[in-house]
Order: sequence, then structure tokens, then C-alpha cells
Amino acid sequence: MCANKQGGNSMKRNFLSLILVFAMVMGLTACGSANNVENTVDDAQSSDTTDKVVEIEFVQVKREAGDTYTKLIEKFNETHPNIIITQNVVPDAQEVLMTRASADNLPDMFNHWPTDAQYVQFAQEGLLLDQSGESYLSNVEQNYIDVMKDEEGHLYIVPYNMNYMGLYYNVDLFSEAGFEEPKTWDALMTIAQQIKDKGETAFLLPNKDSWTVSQLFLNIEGKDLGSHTDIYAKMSNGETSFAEIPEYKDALEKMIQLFDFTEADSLAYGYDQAINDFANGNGWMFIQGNWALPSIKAANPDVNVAMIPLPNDNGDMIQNTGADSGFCINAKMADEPEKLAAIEEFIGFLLSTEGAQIYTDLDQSPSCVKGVVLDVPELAGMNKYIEENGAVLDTASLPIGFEDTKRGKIQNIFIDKDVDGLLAELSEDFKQAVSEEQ
Amino acid sequence: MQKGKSAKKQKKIKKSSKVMFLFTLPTVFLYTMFFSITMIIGVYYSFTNWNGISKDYKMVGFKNYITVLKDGRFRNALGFNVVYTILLVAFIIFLSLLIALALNKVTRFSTFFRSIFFIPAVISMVTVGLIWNELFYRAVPLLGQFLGIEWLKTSLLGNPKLAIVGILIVNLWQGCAIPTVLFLAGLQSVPKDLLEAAKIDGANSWKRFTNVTIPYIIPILNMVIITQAKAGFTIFDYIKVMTNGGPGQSTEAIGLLIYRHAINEGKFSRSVAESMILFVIVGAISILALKLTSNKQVGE
Repeated sequence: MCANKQGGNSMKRNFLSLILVFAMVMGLTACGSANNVENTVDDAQSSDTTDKVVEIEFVQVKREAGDTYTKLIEKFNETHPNIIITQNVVPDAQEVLMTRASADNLPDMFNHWPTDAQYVQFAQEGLLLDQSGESYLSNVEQNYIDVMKDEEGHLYIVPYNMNYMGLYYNVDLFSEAGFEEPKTWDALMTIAQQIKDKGETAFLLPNKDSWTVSQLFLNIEGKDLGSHTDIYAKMSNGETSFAEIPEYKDALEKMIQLFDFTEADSLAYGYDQAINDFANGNGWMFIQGNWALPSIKAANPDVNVAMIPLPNDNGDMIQNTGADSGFCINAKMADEPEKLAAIEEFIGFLLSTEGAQIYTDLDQSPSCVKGVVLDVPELAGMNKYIEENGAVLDTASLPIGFEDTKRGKIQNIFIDKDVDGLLAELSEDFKQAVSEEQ
Repeated sequence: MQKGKSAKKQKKIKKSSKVMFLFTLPTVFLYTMFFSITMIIGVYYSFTNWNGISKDYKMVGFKNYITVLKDGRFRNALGFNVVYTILLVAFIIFLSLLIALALNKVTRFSTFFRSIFFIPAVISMVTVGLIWNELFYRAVPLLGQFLGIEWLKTSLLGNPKLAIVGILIVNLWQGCAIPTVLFLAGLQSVPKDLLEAAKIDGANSWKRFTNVTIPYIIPILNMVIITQAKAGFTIFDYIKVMTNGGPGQSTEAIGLLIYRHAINEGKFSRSVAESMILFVIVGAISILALKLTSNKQVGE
């Protein structure tokens, strides 16, 4: 009897363990099979030679331009239905690109910021395709192309649009209060104080997002320093440093002044929240670049804002413009002619006057493409200033890794207000970044 | 007769240990492939100047390690981790033990209560961080205003001195779940007749706890100390999602610095050197913890 009982139990147990092992194995194969399914679909499509479908992955790093590119891709598909462009928008795009680059898995094409150290690094490491011979370049203004080429004449990024930074203000609130557009820093501070006396928030500073703090710094000192190419070159040679250039100290001190007129909790306050609040009239002024405008208008289409240059002490601001974004092609596309041809068609469309006009209308930024008209009433103040005083094209880029170190430390200025300490640290970090680049 | 029996027993033991050995093979294989080998490769790269994406690099010996140990930013991060780990281990043991003792006494709806306390463990760390992000920005200030406490009126995460407390609260909320379950299991292994005998001998509940209960749960205490110390030193998910090292650099832990150096600043080889130093630190603490409590547990 005992033997039977044991026999029965072990049979049950064997059966159960068999089922569990089976389930485990099925689970493992399921993980692997997903890829196989995709591949077979691709094979089926590409074996049909008359209607060749090409799939391109386009990593798009400007989150605020996501909808704009969706519309452009739809328009492109009207004339090119067999080229499927998958726009991939991710948060922290640079981190994703760096991870993919180190895994040798960069996307087919992506856009990037031409002055960004990561783009410079990718170009130097040979990860990008040289576009200097492409036909669509004839549509782009020549001076922008020349600035983007490296010393040997290679062009690793095709510039698409420009950007500039300034000061947004809420037109309705200003006219109600009877404020005039501030032309000097003192006038700006006077207005800020008056707003504070009313119990309102003068400036919306999303200080939690350190990239905005870093750009605030650039915005202020740029008004006095203009283009940074010579300055960074001299810093790389050790001829000067952040601590030795008075405009940098002045900019940090101005940032501390602004801190008095912003929300109490600005270090926990993020960019998306600031856009929303500014669009809904919860703050009077917003120091940002022209790229913020579509997001502001999306948050509240009825808001009435205008952008003017951020004033400096004397009212003689140098208005910098920078190359905002451009297109890069993965160097591996040279080995995949079908994909390369499809990418060239797509970029050609984006750089056509028709495509670029769609982009400019939606993104509301100045274009690098010939024949595109920028008609944005909110930016009239900026454009007028640029017409009267000219603009400086600032294409200087920082050493690799420095911008990120700067972003990690720049918030400290609001915490300990130690201007000289921060300038000394930044100077040291710059030197280190340069020496690590060799 | 006896010889035959023990020979049979030995055969049985040999067979079952063979089977058990085979069961461990897959894990050993995975561990070797994905941990040991990658770590050795990492150590190799820490002696180079590889930036993560270039095709060639140079061997630079110990340069990365020297740079890291000299770096004030690394020492800052280490200081943060030490403070954080001490607080984390202390509070987790205290809270988990308290909850476990309470749950041990509960007889009605015990499954329900145990599930409630365990639920935070099944949510991903990133999700928890994002939820608490919003709670800290919108709900906690309301609480502060209601209670009239000044430093609670703004988000803890935006306050450079209190951001570490914010991260700690979130970590405790989620981190107490598993230690609680472990302690609960340990408490149930304490023989009830020993406790009764102690009671009869006149020991009060505190004496009973320290002299009877604790020696039985020392192995679990050991495990919790080691795993939570490791968690404290390698903290990353909560910080990345809630403060990203800020405000300023007040919550820049070593884990975050390693990530930043690799992904944001393209200094992969330096990042690996920092990871190796962290590995040595965590290993040293684990060995220390094991040594300190090895002679106090039941059965030694």
C-alpha cells in the first residue's frame, strides 16, 4: 500500500514539474520569437519588388517639434507612400543616443543640435555620413552650410532652422498694468519689483530643469559677449577663463537678482509646468527661446505674448542666433543604398521650400532654407531689433562633457549664491574637459 | 543490517545532491556570463581611456582611479551615500521589525494586512518615484500649510537640505516591504515554548525580545543589513526620476555620478573605475557585517 501511495504521488509530481518546465521554456522562446516575427514580415514586404517598402527610423530629439514632424511625414507620404518613416521621440534624447552609440546601434537618421558637444563627438568618431555632396544642399542658404562644414570640408549635419533666446512677456497683463517694454536691465528690475508688490510672480524660472538654468546664463552673458568662438578658443589655450571674464560674473549676479522675483519653489519647478503657467497667465514674464512659443500657444491658444531681446545694462544688446537643429545620417547607411536613397528623398523634401515652409509655420523659428517666410506676430519685437541692429551667428561649441558638468553645477548659484566659487569651479572643469579631449 | 542502510542512505544523498547541483547550473551560467565576465571586461576598460563610442583607445593604467579618488565631486557623492545608507539601514530595520512584530500578533484578516504592506514592493521603482514626485510637489505642501510647518510648505525635493529626506521617505515606503516579510517569517521560527518559558521565569517583553527572539532572527538581520547597505550605496532609480542629482548637487549619489560620467559626459572608462571602487566598498561592508554577527546567531 505504501509503495502505491508513493508511486501515485511521484507520478503527480513528475507531471507537475513537466508542465512547469514546459511553461518556462515557452516563456523563454516567446521572448526570442518577437524579433523573428518582425523579420519575416520585412522579408515578405521587401520580396515584392514592384512596390518596395523601405522603413527608416528617424530619432527626433526636439520633443516640442514632435507634432510638426508628424505633419511633415504625412505630407511626405502623399508623394512617397512606400517610404515609411518612423519618428521616434524620447525624453532625454541625448542619453538615449549615447547609449545606442556605445552599443553600435544608432538610428538610420536623426536630428541634433549642431553646437552640441555630443554631435561634435559623433562627427569626430566617424559615426555620421558626409553629406557635402548631396543635391538638396542647393536649397539651403550657403552661409549656414559653410559654417557647419569641418576643416576638411565634410558636412556631417545639414542645418535646418535657427534659434534665438530672449524675453517673453504677457501683453495683456503688461498693458493692463501700464508697463512698457523694458529696454535696459534696470527698467526690467523696476517692472519686476512692481509686479512683486502686486503679489504676483514676475519671472517663471523652471530651475528644476538644469538645462533652462544653463541657457539662462548663456542668454544673459550672450547679450554682452556675442559670439563665443574666440572666447572658447582662448579658454582652450589657457589664455582666459570664466573667472577672468567680467561679463560671466555679471551674468551670475543678474541670475541671483532674478531669483528674488520668481516662484518660491523654483528649484522643484519644471519646464513643462512653467509653459503651462505662463500660457495661463500665472506669471508675467518667461525668459526662454523661440522654441517655446509653439508649446505656449498649444497650452493656451488665446494667450497674448510677445518676445523681445533680454535687456542688458546699457540697452545695446548683442542678439545671438544659433543653429537650432539639423539632420544627421548614420554612416552605416553608405552600405544600404536603398535606405540611403529613401533618407535622401525625405531630407530633400524637408529642405524643399514647400516642406521647410510647413515646418517654419508650425515651429515658428527662422529657417535655413531659401525662400521661406517667417511671419509670427509674437516674434515681431525680436525681428525688428534684429533688422535694426543685426544678429550674430554663434556657432561655438563647448568641449565634450562640459555642458553636462555645467548643468550639474549651475543650480548651485541659486542655493549658495557663491559667484566667485562657481566661476572658479567652471574654469577648472573647462580645463579638465579640454585636457580629456586630447 | 546497519551497514546496508547507511550505504543506501549515502547513495540517496549522492543522487539528490547531484540533482541539486544540476539545478544550480543555469543560474551559475547566467551569473558567469552576465556578471562575472562583464565585470572583468569592465575592469579591463577601466585601465583605458575609452570614451564609449570611439573605435580605438589607449591603455592608461591607474590614471582613471587616481582621477576619481582625487575628484571632490566623487568624495561628495561618497559622503552622500554614507549618510544615506546609515539612515536607510537604521530606519528600514526599525520600521520593518516593528511592522513584522505587529503583523505577527494580528490573527484576523492577517492575509489582508500582509498584502497591504507588501504591495509597494511590486510596483517598479521608477513608477513609485514619479508618483511621489507629484505628491511632493502638490500634496505635501498642502499638508505643510495645514500644519503650519515652514519647511514642509514647499516641495521637499526642491530644498537642497531636505531632498535627501524626500528620497529616503520614498525608499522606506517601498523598501520596507520585503524586509517585513522576511522578519515575519523569522519571527514565526522562534519556538513558542521558549518564549513561554521565559515569561514564566519572569522576563518582561523587552527582555524576551532581546534574549530569545533576536538570536533567532540574526541571520535575517544580517541579510537585511547587507542588502539594504548595498541598496543604499547603489541608489539610483529614485534619484534619477525625482531630483536628477539636484537641487545643485545635493542628491548626487555615486550611482548617479557613474551614470552621468558614462552617458552624459562620455567618460565611460572613468565611470567603470568609479563602479569598481563602489564594488570594493560594498564588498567590504558586507564582509564586515557578516563577521560582526557570525558568532551571535543561534546554532553557532
